[in-house]
Amino acid sequence: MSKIAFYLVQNPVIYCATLIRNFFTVLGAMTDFSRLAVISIFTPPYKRTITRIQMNEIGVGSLPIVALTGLFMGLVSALQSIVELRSIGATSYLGRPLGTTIVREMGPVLSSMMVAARAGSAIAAELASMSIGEQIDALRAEGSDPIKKLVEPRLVACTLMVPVLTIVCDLIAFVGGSFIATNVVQVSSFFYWDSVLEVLTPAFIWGGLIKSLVFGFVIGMVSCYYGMKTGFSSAGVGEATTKAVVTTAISILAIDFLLTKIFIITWW
Amino acid sequence: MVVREPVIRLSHVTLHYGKNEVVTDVNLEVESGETKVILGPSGVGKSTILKAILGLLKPKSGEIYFQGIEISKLSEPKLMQVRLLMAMVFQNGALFDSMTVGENVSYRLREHALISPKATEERVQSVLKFVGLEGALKLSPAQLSGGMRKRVAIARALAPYPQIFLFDEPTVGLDPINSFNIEQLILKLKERRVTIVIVTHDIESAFRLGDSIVMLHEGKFIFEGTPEELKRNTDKRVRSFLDPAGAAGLNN
Repeated sequence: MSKIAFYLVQNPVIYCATLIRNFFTVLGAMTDFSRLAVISIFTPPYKRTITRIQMNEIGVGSLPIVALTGLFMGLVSALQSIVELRSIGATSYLGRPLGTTIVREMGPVLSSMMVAARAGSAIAAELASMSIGEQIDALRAEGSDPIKKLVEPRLVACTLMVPVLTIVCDLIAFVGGSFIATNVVQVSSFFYWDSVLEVLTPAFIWGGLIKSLVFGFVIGMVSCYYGMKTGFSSAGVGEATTKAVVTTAISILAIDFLLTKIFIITWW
Repeated sequence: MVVREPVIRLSHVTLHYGKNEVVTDVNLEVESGETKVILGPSGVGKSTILKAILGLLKPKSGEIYFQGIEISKLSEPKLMQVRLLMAMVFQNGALFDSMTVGENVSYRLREHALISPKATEERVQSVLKFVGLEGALKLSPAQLSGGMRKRVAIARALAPYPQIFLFDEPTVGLDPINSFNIEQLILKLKERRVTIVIVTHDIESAFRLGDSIVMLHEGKFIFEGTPEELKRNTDKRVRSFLDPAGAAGLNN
C-alpha cells in the first residue's frame, strides 16, 4: 500500500484537511510570486535581450510540436465531425463545427499543453538546477534580482508566444480538416473554407486568444515558481519538473472551464 | 575615546530553515582588515551564517550589522545595494553555466555598470591573471576542473573591488595542490588588509589563514580566539574536533 493510500485509509479527514491546507499554502505562495513577477515586468530596466532569447527558445522551439499537434487535431476532429454530420446529411458544413471547436477550445488548450510539456518542463528543470547549484544565491550575492533576471523574461516570453503558437496550431488544424473534407467527403475546398470563416466571429477569435494568453502566463508562472522553490537534493530537479507540468496541465483545464463559462455568459 | 564599530556584527542571531533551527543565539564581530575563520564540522550551520551576513537569509531573531547599519531588517532592494560591498565565493563556485568565464568574472561590473566597458575588460584580465587563469577567458564553466572553478569564483569575487570577502569552504573537495593554490590566493588577499570571513572544516587551513577563529558546535559558538589559543583549548568538544583520535583515546 502506498504512503498516500495508507494515510487515506487510516485517517481520511486529516488527509483531506492536509491536502486542502497544502493547496491553499501553495496557491498563496504562487500568488505572491506572480505579484512580484508582474511588478517586475512593469518596472525598468527591461530585460529585452534575454526576453527575445526566451521567446525564440519557447516560441520557435515549440513550433514543430505545436504544428504536429494542430495537424492531427484537425484530422481527427474532421473525421469525428463527419460521423455526426453524415447522419443528418450535412457533411458539406464540416467547416462549421471545426471552426468553433478548434478556435474556442482545442487550439488554445492543446497548444498550451504542448508548450507546458516542452518549454514549461525545461524552464522548471533549468531553474531548479540553478537553484541546487547555488547559482540563484550567487545572482543575489552579485546584487541582482533573480525575479527580474530569470523569471520576468520567461514569463513574458510564455505569455506572448503561446497565443502566437495557438494561431499557428489553429491554422494547421484547419488545413488538416481541409484535407479530410476534400479527400474523404469530397467537399470542395472553397466551400470548406467558406464555412470555416462563416463561424469565426471576432468574439470567438478574441476569446481563444485571451484563453491562450492566460494559459501562457500560467505556464511561465507555475514553471518558474517550482523551478525557483526547489529543494537542495538532485531529486529536486525531477520533482520540480513533474510538479510544474502536472500543476500547469490541471490549471489550464480548470481555467479553461472558468473562462468558457465567463465567455458564454458575457460574450459568445 | 572613539569606539570603532566592527565591520560585521551579529547580535544574538538565530537562524532557521523551515522548522529546523540551525544556529541559535550567536554573537560575532569581524573587525576591519581581519581574517575571521568560522570552524566546525559539516552541517552545523557555518554556511548559513555566511548567507545571513550577505542578507540571503533573514534571521528568526537577533540583529546583523554591517558597518554599523542594521541590515537584517532591510528590504530586498536595499539589501541588493549592501551586497555590492561584499563578495562571496560559494562552496562549489556557483558559476553561471550559461556564461563564459569572462562573462562570469565581469558580471557585477557589467550588470551595475560600475566601470567603463574598456576598464571592465582590463579588470577581468587583471583578476584572471591574479588567480593564474589568463587563458580561460572564453571557456565555459563546464570545461573547468574543480580547482579552476574555485579560482574563477575568486576572480569573480575580486573583480568589483569589494570591501569584504566571504569564503564558503574554499578548499573542500580539492587536491592538495589546488588547496595550496587557493590558500595562497587568500593569503595574497590578506596582505592587502581586506576583511575576510572564511567558513571551513579544514583545521590546518583555518590555522594558516585565520587571524582569529570561532568554533561552531551544534549551532552555537563554543570558542573564540587566536589559532594559538584554539590549539591550547581543553574543552572536550573542541578537542574531539581538533584531534578526534586523541579524544577517543586511540593515540599511542
